Amino acid sequence: MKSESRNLLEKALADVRQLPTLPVVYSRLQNVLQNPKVSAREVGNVIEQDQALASKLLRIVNSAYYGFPSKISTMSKTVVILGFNEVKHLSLSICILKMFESNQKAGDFDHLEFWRHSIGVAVCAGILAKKSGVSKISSHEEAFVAGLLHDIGLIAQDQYIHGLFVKAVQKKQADNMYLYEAEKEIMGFTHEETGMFLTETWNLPPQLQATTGFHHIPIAKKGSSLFNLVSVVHIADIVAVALGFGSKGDPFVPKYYRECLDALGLTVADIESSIDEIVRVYKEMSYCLIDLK
Amino acid sequence: MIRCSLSDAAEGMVLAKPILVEGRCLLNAGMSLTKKHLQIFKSWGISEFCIEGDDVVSAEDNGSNEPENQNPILEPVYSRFSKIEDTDGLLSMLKRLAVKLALHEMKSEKR
Repeated sequence: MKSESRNLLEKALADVRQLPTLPVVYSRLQNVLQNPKVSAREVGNVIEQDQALASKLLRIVNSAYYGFPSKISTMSKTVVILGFNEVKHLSLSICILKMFESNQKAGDFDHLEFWRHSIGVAVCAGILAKKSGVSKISSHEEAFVAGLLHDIGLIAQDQYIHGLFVKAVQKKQADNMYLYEAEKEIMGFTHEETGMFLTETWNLPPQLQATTGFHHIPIAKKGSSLFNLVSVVHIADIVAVALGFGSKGDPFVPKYYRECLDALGLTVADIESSIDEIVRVYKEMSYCLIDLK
Repeated sequence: MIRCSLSDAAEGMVLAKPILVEGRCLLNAGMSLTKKHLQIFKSWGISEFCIEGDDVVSAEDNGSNEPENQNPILEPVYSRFSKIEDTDGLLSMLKRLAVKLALHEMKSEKR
């Protein structure tokens, strides 16, 4: 049986004629990557069909983050250097970012600042996943995408149920409360539920459904195989808000569950020793993924 | 010397190291940055460079003569942490670093 909030969410989105769909280039990329014998040139050819995607991947591979001594100018070389897994995850990130790319502002909710926050969480999740080790998180690329998309429900709400969302933003400001608390009061559901609905609609893996759906209440996933990934996004969100990386329209550092840090086998000192790298890579990735205005 | 990203760069900052592209010098150390320089850096994909200045913001030299708790630039930083309690030192550590970052950015902007 569906929960009450799920019913309210589906009702609110019922008037939306067309929810966004993932670009064709990403579906093609997924298809070719299913072939174990696919070559880097074939993957590169698919990416080159989308010039915006190709140019952003080139910008990323040539950034100081990867630090290659010579300039990479072809897509096949980019694929060789980054690897199939990272190309797939970065492509998904770039495609989704492009779908919602605008400079729109709804009160406190600024799209550019929202993406800066999302990139901050992505970078932080990727770096902490690496530090946590492969036994805890399957891949740091997956943690990066999970971080980038964790708040996708917010931007979808702003775009598709704008009136309700603006009311929630106003309530948050008036009553000095967390945005997700105001969303629940005004709309009956939160951006976590909206995000999970979208990731289900796009048929994204269960890992991404869990991180969009439970980053504020990770404890709900305790005991599940997805708890570590949800935990890394939860901690990354806290770090990104605390350090002021962009803004998701909610200025307060979210509620913190210390069990998440324990689950990752990390200490406060581990987080502190990663901050310099997080700040440096955050600035680098913001430059690569968001066009300077 | 401070590592500065293009997004944080401003006119008037002075390069501490030359900017090299494919082995050729695009701009020498000591040059004061102009709007045109920043546009050229963007077109070449240069995202980070070194500018002159001290990288460390100490408690004594925080870019302001005001005590920290009266510095208006820190109000939004303290406000971010107003809804949560520290249970294991993570949030205290993050607050300390957030203050340091905010002061650092304020100092960069003043330059």
